This record gives sequence, structure tokens and C-alpha cells, in this order.
Amino acid sequence: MPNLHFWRAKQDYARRRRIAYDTVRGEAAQTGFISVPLRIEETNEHTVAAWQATWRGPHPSGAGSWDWDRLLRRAWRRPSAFHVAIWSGEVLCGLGVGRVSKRRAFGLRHTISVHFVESAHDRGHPLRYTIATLVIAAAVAYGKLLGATRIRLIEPLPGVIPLYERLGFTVAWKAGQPVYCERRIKP
Amino acid sequence: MRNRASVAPIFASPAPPRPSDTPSWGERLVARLLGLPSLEEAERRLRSEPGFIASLTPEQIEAINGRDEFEVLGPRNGPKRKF
Repeated sequence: MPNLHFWRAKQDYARRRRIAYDTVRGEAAQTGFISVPLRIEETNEHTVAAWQATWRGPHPSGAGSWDWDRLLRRAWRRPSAFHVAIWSGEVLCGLGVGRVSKRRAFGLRHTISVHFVESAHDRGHPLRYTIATLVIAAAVAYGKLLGATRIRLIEPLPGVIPLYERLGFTVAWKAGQPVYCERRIKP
Repeated sequence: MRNRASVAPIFASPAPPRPSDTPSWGERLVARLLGLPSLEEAERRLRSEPGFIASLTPEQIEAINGRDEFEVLGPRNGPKRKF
């Protein structure tokens, strides 16, 4: 017998993600932040196929090269998970995945956390240097729809901590290593 | 008796979906009574208020530009792609 409650939850959260991503896409175009074709969507099998086919070699930063097949399949098991694919036309330019904290009273989630982000490895992709901003914006928008009041970026690269601080994030440290960056979300 | 090789795929298969965690009917009712925003209200607010991108200053956008390492997030021991 199909799990109706699970199916309903998947539909509900997918709808929230769609609303959030559409809002961010509109905002990116209206503010002039993005001036090339942009699509912000949930991830699916097509995303995994595009990642496998087009992201080759090391990332320009030398970090990343995440196994997105594994990360996304794990995220899909949780209806409320945050997962996003950023496209320009048919080019897969960026991926992000995260989760929301456990549901509190009345269905509210207090934190949305982003665990993995990566841009396409091709240095010439049309959305270079905008992926992290778009993923964070998508997470903030999705978090707002779930009642979250803060966003956390888990285990940021130490080299870009000053940049996160400049964007309004505060950093939590443990044993000299950054554990997460956090920023308030206006409810 | 089955050997280890014959049972390994069972453990290698993906775990079953996690149970749903949407608010119950009662929680939605209490939320409404307390005046917490519905999805429609939250959506209206989301669309009417400036988001993360709109909150960035030109200086902040300039600082992001050219930083490849800003385009990656994840733990050092995160799952790497195998070629």
C-alpha cells in the first residue's frame, strides 16, 4: 500500500520549494544580479544525469568535487529537504543541498542549514561566481516559508570566512575550525 | 545458510523513505488560532519583502566576484566523486 502521508508531505514541500525558487529567480532578474537565462529548480534524475555527463575534472577552487548522486539521493528521502539545481538554459551551473531542523510546535522549523554547495567545474559556465549567492538566497526563501529564523552554512572553507562575515554571517568555531556560519532570517 | 556475499546487497540498498513530518491537522488548527501565518500569508510576505539578493550591497557583490572558493561548501571529509 502506498504511503499516502509521505506522498502528501513530498507534494507539500515541493510546492514550497517551487514558490521559494520562483521568487529568487524573479529577484535575481529584477535586481540585475543575473542577466543571462536562469532556472532554479528542485533536483531530480535529470539533474544527476547532467552532473555525471558535464562536470568533469577538478573544481577551479581545488575543493569540492562532491558525489552529488549520493548526496541528492539521500536528500530525496526526506520530504522537507532543501535541494536545488541552478541552470542557465541547458547548462547545469550549480547544486546545493541541505536540511531543515526538526519540526517544532505548530509545524515551524527554526533553522535551515546548507551542507553542500558546488558550482560547475567549467570555468566558462554562464553563472560563474553567482552560485553560492543563489543557493543561499533559495535556502533563505525556502526557510522563510517554513518559519525558519536563521540560516546556517555548515563547515565553510576557512579561506572564505571573512567573506561570509562581510555578508552578515557570524561564525561558530570549534578547535580553531569553523563549524558553521549563521545569519538571521527576518520572519 | 546464506553467505555474506548474498546478504550484502540488502544492506547496500537505499534506506526506506523517512516518515513524513508535515504538521498534523491539530497543529495547523492551533497555529491558525495563534495567528501564525499560513503558507499563503508566508508566500505573500516572501514576495513583498526584499530577499537575500536584494539585501546585498554593490560592495558585497564585488567582493564575491572572482572567488572560486566561495562557490564550494562542504566538510573536508565529504563524499567525493569517484571517476
